[in-house]
Amino acid sequence: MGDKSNLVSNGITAAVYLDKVVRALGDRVDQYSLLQVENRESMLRFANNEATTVNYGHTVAVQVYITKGKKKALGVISELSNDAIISTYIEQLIEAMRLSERSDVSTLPGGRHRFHVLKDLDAGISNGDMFSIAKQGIDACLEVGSERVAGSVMMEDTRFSILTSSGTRATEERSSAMLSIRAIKNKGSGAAVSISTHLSGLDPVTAGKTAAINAKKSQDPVKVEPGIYDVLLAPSVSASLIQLFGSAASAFSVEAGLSFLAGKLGKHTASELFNLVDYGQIKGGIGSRAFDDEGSPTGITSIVKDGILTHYLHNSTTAEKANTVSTGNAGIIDPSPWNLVAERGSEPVDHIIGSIKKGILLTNNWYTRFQNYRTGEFSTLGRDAAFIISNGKITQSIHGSRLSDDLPRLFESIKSISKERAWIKWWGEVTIPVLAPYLLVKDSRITTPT
Amino acid sequence: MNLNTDLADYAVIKSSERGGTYSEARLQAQQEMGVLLKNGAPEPAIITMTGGLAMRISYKGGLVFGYTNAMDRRSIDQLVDKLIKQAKAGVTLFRRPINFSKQDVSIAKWEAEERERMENLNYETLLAKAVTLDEMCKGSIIKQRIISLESNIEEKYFVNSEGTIIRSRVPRASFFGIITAHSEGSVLQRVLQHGEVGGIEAFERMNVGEKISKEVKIMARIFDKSVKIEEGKRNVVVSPEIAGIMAHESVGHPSEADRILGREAAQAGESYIGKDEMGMKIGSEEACVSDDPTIPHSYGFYLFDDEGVGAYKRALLNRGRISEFLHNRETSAEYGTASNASARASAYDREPIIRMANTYVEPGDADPEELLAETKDGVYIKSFMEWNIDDRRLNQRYVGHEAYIIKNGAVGLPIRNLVLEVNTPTLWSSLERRANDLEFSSATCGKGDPEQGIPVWTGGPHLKFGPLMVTHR
Repeated sequence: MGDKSNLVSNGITAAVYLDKVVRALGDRVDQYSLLQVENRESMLRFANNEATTVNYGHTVAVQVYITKGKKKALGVISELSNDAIISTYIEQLIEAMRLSERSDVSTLPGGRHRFHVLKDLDAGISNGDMFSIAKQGIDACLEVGSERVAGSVMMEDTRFSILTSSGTRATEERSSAMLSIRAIKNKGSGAAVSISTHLSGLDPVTAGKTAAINAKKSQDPVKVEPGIYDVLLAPSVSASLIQLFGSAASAFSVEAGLSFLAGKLGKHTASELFNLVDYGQIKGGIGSRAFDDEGSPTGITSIVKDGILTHYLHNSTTAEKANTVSTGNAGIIDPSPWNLVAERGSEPVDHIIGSIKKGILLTNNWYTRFQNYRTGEFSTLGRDAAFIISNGKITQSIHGSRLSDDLPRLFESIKSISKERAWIKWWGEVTIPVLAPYLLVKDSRITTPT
Repeated sequence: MNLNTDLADYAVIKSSERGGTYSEARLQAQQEMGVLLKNGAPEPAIITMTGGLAMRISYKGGLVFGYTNAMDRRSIDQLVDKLIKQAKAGVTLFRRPINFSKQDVSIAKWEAEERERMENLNYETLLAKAVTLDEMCKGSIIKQRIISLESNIEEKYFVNSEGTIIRSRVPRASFFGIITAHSEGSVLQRVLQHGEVGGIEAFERMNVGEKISKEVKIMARIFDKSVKIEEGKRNVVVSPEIAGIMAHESVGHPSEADRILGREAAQAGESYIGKDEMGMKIGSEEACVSDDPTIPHSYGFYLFDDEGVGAYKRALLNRGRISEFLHNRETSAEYGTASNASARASAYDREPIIRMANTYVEPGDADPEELLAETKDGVYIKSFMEWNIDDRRLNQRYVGHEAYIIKNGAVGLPIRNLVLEVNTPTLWSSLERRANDLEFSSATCGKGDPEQGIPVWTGGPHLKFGPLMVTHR
C-alpha cells in the first residue's frame, strides 16, 4: 500500500468488459455510456469485544446505458465471464428499449476529457490489517471503562472505468477505509466513526475513546421532557440532515415531488450562516470521482451560499430539461452528491454550548423518516448519548428523544455552526460522505411517548 | 438462468481441503425488468442480470464470508485462499468459537407457484400496466407521481459440507409509487408498495389500480374535510396496515436473536428482550404475533432458508408473552436449540443473516365493524407515512396519513397527521380486541452491514386498543 496516483488514463484502460459490451451492441444504438466498477472489499464486524465475522469480496459489474432515437434503456450486468451471456443480456436490453415509449433523451457529454484527478489513493487498501484497527478501537473503549464494544471496519479498493459513444474513455481508482464503533456501559452508550481514503488516516483510538467517553457520560439517563428546545446536533446527526438537504437538491427529486427545495432556486432556504458545497473530488472524501456515470467531469457545485439555494444537481437529461448544463452528478436517472461539505463556522463547540440556556445535545441519531418529502416534514430518533444543556452547561443524560421537525424550518433556524468538523458516513443513516460541523438549531420540537 | 452448480460443489470441496470445518456455497442469480414513470414520462427501460457465488467457511472457530462473480475455478481458489487467510489473521479476535446448530441434511428443489412464467413478460406489457396505473392519477389533485413496476426472478443453488443441497426459484412482482397531491398551497404525499411472489399473474393479483384510485379519493377528502384534535388519551382502532408495521417493528425485530445477543449493536441495534427473557410479558392476552415464510404468494415466501434449513411458521408473541426468537444456525447453537430457518441473504454478495419473512398479528374473531361500533370516543388510523422506532425497539411512532375521529361508534371526519407515539409494552398491553380480517402489506426490510433490503409482508387484522395518547404534527 502507499500513496499512488489514482491512475486515471485517457484511452488505455483495464476495463476489458467494456469492449465486449460495445461489440455486443454493434451499431444498433445511437449513444451508449458504459461504466465498469471493479470492487475489492474487506470487512470485519465485531460485537461484545470480539470478532463476529469477516467478509471479503471481489466483484466486477458493468452499468449499461443506451439510447436510440428518443428511446433509452439502462441496466447492470455482473455475469461477465461468458460472452454468450453478455450477448443475451444486450439483446434483452435493446429489445426493452425498442418496446419502450419515446422520452427525453439528451446528448451525452462529448469529447476526450483530460480528467483532473486529485491524488488521494491508498492502492491495495482492501488487504490492510483490519484486525489491528478493530483491536485498537476496542482496547481504547475498554480502557475508558466500556463493558461492551461493537462495530465494523471496512476497506475498499474500487476501480471505475468509463467508455462512451462520444469518445470518453478513462479509468480511475479509489480507496476508502471506515471504522464504526459503539461503546456500551450499563445503560449508556456512545458511537463514533473514523473515515479516510487511506488506512493510515483511520484513528481507531480517538474514535474508540470518543464513543467510550460518551458511554460513560450517559449513565443514569432520565426520560426527556417533550417540548421546544434549542438542539445542538453533533456531526453524526447534522451529517444525516445535511445529506437529506444535498439529496433534495437533485433535479430528479425536485421534478418528482420528492424535494422541499422545489421552486427555491435563488431563494432563501437556510440560515445565512449555512453554506453547502458538493465536491466531486476532495482530499479525504471517500465519495470522490473524477467522472460521473455519463462521462462528465465532476466538479465543485455550490448548493447553498449564505442561505440562498444556488444550484440543483444535474445530469445531462435533467440539465437539458432545465435549460442548463450538467453539474457532473449523474446518476443516469437521479443525480446525486459525491461529497457534501458544510462550511465551518466561527465558534468552538464549547462556546456554542456555553451560549445555550435550555437545550439538548444529540450525539447520534437513526431511523429518519418523512411524513412528506415535498414539505420536508420528518422525525428522527436520538441514539446513544444525549444530554440536557442548561444555562451553558451539560447537566443531565437523557433518553427517549425524538426530533420532530421539518427540514425548511430546521435549516432556516440554524443559530450557530461550529469550527470543528468531521467526515461522517455510517450504516443506514449517512450513505453519502459529509464533512459536517455541529449545528445549533433554534426551537426544535422534541417528542417522546407520554 | 444458468447456475454453474459444479463450481459451487467445487468451492465446498476446496474449502474443506483447506481446513474449513464447515463450508457452504450459494449461487444466487437475479434477473430484473423495471418500468419507472416520473410524472407519466418513462425513465430508461431497466434490465439487470446479476449473480455470483457466496461462501461461508468456519475455520478454527472463526466464521468468514466471501463472494465473487468471476465464475471460474481459479477465482474460486483465490477466494478460498483469501478467506482462510483472513480467518487465520483474525484468530485472536475470534475469542469464542462460532458454532452451528445441528440440522437435518436436506436435498430439495422448490419453486414458488408460477402460473405464467415471469420470463414471458415483455417490457411492452409491463410498461402498459404502469401507464394504466399512472392514468389513474391524471386530471386530479395529483401533481407529481412516481410509478414503478418490476419483475424479478431469483434462482439459487445452496450446497454445504454436511451434504445439504437446495435449489430454488422465486419470481416476484413489485409495485412502488409515490403520489403527491396539491390543493390551495397544501401538500399531501403517499408512498405505496405492493409485492407478491408468483408469475405474471401476480401483477393482476396485487390489484394496484383499485388501491391507487382509492388513495386519490382519500387525499381529496383529507384536503376538504380534515380537522385537528386535542392531544389526549383515546381508544385507538388500527387497520391491518398499521397492525402489520407495529408487529414488524416492535415484535419481529426485537425477536431476532442476533440483536438479542448484541451482534447488531453498532448497526441495526439491540432489543428490549434480554438474552434469558424468553416468556417475558409485554402485552395483553390478545397480543399474538407470528412470522410465517411459507404463506403462498407472500412477498417474503421461502421453503428453505439460506442455510438450507426447512422453513415453518414461528409464534413470536403468544398471549402477550415472548414465545420464540428468530434464529439462524449460529444463534440457535448458542441457545442449544435448532434453527427456525430465519437466515436470508438478499444477493450473492450478502451474508445470510437473521430476517423476518411475513410478520403479522394473528386474527381474532370479531367483525372489524364491531371494533369501530363499540368505540365511543376514539381514533381510527388506516394508513401511515412517517414511522420510526428506537434501536432497542421500545419507543415507536406512527403518523397517520388516513385517520379519522370515531364518535359513538361512527367514523367521522379525517384527522390530518395524527401521531401515535407509544412504548412497546404500553402498546401491546393496551390491545383489547382483534378482528377476523387478516390482510397483508408489502415492505422492504433493511438490516445488515453492508445493508440488505429484503422483501417481507407485514400484516394483521383490525385491532382495538384501550386509551393511548394521540396528538398531531
